[in-house]
Amino acid sequence: MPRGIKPMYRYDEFDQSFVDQRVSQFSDQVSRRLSGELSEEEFRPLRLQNGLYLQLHAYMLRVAVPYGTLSARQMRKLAHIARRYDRGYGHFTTRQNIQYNWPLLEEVPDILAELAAVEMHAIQTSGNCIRNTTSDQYAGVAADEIEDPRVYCEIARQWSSLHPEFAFLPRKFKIAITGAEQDRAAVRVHDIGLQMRRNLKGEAGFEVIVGGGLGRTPVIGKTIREFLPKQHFLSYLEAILRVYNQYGRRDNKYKARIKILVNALGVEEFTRLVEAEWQSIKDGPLALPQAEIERIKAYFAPPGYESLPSVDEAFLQARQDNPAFARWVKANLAEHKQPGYAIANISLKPVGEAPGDASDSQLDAIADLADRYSHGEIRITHEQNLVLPYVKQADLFALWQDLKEADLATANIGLVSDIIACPGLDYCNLANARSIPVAQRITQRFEDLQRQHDIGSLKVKISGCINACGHHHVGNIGILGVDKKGQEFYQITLGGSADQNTAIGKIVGPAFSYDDVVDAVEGVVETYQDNRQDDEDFNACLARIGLAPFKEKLYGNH
Amino acid sequence: MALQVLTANRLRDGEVVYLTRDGQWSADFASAHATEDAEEKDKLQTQAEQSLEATLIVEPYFFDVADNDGILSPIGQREIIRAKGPTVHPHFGKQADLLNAARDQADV
Repeated sequence: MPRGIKPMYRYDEFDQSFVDQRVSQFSDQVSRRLSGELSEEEFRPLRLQNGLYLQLHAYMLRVAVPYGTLSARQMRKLAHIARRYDRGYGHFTTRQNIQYNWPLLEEVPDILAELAAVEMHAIQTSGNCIRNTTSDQYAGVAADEIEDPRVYCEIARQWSSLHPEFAFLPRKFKIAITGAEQDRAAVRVHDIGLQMRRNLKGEAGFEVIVGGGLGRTPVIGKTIREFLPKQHFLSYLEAILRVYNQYGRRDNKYKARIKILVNALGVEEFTRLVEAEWQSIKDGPLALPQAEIERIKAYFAPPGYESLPSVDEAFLQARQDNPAFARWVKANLAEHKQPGYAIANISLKPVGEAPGDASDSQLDAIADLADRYSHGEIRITHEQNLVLPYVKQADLFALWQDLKEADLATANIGLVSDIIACPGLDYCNLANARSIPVAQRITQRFEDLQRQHDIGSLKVKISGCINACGHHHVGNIGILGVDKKGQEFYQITLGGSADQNTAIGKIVGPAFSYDDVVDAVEGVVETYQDNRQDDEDFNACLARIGLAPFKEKLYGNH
Repeated sequence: MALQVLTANRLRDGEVVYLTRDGQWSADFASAHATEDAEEKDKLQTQAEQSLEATLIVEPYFFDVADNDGILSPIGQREIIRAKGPTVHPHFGKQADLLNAARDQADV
């Protein structure tokens, strides 16, 4: 390993062999489909198991990025695939994955072979199986963290990959794990959310939250266990999945998610079933020996940090001398647990661009910057941005200048233009309305960065249909695209949140047309600014004043 | 009965295609054959099933179109976008060909 490059989880012989075998199998399946030996009905489940969808204009390949952690080498491969096999860009998703929108069917096996060469694949990015376990993008470096949650994400990855019992669940299944107090992984809106906690003895374990989700029935997950010792992590997941697999509905896809089962059984009965199942397996082969936890933990060891003063004087001076750099520092940096270091967010939300898109040259540039400034490691956030997790304060000004060169220095993390948006009707077969152009127009309306900073933290999230891939239910301002007689309309919800104060937004009133929705968003923002007290955030202001002032602004006397 | 066009995605690359009057699949909406005749729609459906067997296309279906003085246009945002390409990337999809053609013409 080159000096200065941080260790990451590497495939063992089993991992590499099964990914290589899958490439070979899918290559054969594609050939048989193109020759007519396989019908579309026979081929569809096979392509979906390999992350290949058919969308409006072309196929779409979704590539798994386990817990959103990538090496620079892997990022360069993603850039190469965008350039060689797609149309020069990729789209980062809310499951910390990447999607390509234009692959040719006959070339997908070649793409999968390219991915396998850098220990990547597209398995279980679709279908009714356990999807990519997501995590805190600041895992391992957050100042407020108990332990690095990626250790458990990786254990879950190994357990859930091609798990024979859970290959055909009633519906897709999503797990998120965070090790920090501040929830940056939206654990309460996942099928299973795991939040690391300490018990009274000071031992680390997990609060287990089940049955959260968005979609057409948004539900905040329920805690079914306040504290799960780490050695029982896998057996408890297995017990939950077994109960879901046995009792979850398979007759109606809209009632098949675990949230519906938890609601139907009641949380007490669901918990009783899980605990009973767990008692029968907890001390079996799934019990995690400390040695195994330590073995996986070694792959996530911190890089070779230098001993640095907690504040770098040259960094402070540059911040003082350069207002644009100061704005980027204020919005895009997060506190690092190691003195003298910072977590640097790279916004993929420049004014007027598609949220989460990056060009091949930008992907290459980010890989180079990761090598230069961040021990060769990059994170993907569920809010469709990127993170360099190990940047020395002394390097921040140079990093910012390099980011500017690559059009990647937008200083808007957590602000009104840092919008989550699903692909919407521009690409998606399921969508009813466009999402991306609404996001683009909002960023243009709030183009003045100083105005965005004056507004402060504000989460805007847009979905193009009720499946809620853009997480609109948990936006401070949520926007849901709907179809009314062939026309796009947008319903606005207010007061949602995906953090430790998870909340589902409330509908403010009748939907707005495509032309009017940006004015409506601006009206909501102005109402907030007019009514907030001191540093009151959006949801606190809304809780104090209620929906009425927002309704008055948006609908007047109508 | 509504005036409709039969569409599908091409198997090889997922490109949006339309059935033409002479039974071919065209990527150009302007070449699509529109009909409101039930019997003719049955024939088009049969052609689509043959194309499915021949591994040319996937997921065929009819959608409504409007006829304005002999010029067809898709009805509904979804079909408008399928006929052109993503509105957020004018240089991708079918609209890119139109842009390139216009550019080539300007160069001449």
